[in-house]
Amino acid sequence: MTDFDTDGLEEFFAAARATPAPLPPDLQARILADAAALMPAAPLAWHRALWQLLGGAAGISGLVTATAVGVWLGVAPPAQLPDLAGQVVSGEIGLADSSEFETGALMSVYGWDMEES
Amino acid sequence: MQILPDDQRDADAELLQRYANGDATAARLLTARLAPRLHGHALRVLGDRAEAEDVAQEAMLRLWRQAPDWRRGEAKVSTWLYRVVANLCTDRLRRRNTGAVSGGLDAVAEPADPTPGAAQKMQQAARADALQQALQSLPDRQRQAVVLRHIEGLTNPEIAEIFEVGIEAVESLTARGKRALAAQLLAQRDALGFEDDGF
Repeated sequence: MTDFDTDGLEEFFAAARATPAPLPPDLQARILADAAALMPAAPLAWHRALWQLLGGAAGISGLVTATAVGVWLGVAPPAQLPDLAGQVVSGEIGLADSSEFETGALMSVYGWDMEES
Repeated sequence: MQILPDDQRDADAELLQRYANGDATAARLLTARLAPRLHGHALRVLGDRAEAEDVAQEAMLRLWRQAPDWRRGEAKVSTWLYRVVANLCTDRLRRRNTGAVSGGLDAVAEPADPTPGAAQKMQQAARADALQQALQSLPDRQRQAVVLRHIEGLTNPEIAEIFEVGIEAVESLTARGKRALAAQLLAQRDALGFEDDGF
């Protein structure tokens, strides 16, 4: 078979290209129905995404409750607990400066200088 | 997989990204761009309307499922889809009995339009039908390669990517397929209006 013979096929290919089969409307409808059924939900706005990240209404209410209790304990602690916030505010105690600690003393405090038996 | 340069950005991949972000319009555009080509390819390879529709729907279904995980820049959406269709067609052809094959004029070409120029259209339809009949006699890979190259208009590198073979293998498939087609269609040249075409 020569190239001349196969070259003649182009007329057939051209005829095939000129008579494309149309996409049946019901097939198009089925494809679009599949697309609708499988389409991922649109991404949320940032505030809704944050809301869901924190667990929604239940998560947010727990977070607010925990925060309020923490503030309450800091401002008005029960009698049996030291009032650390009040002492700091009044200047009775100050925040520790880490440079005041000697490394060796810290190691002893944490037990890092103990040798394993 | 082939990495596409920036100047060959895949518009279908951008639409698929929009679909993955919940844009229903993108799904309609993708369907309009891709489904007719997939359906046409399956119809020419399988020669059966119902099976071709099933294959096209299944291929698009797999695309929708893949959308959230689609990795842009690795392969063109159309190439990926043609590969899915080619494999689905191969599976169906393997399941068929080796006896009867479909693929006549009724399976592919629409009836000729009875308007001026109808004779030319009828001749064109007859040639397309003869080609379709001849295509059905080719082995699966040869048939798909010829359809993709000479009817769908894909390049050899694209077909090589679809079949996951080398370009030389594609050239061999199409060459052998065309020789077999020519041998069959040569006998019908007079009936198909090729008396003066030198075919």
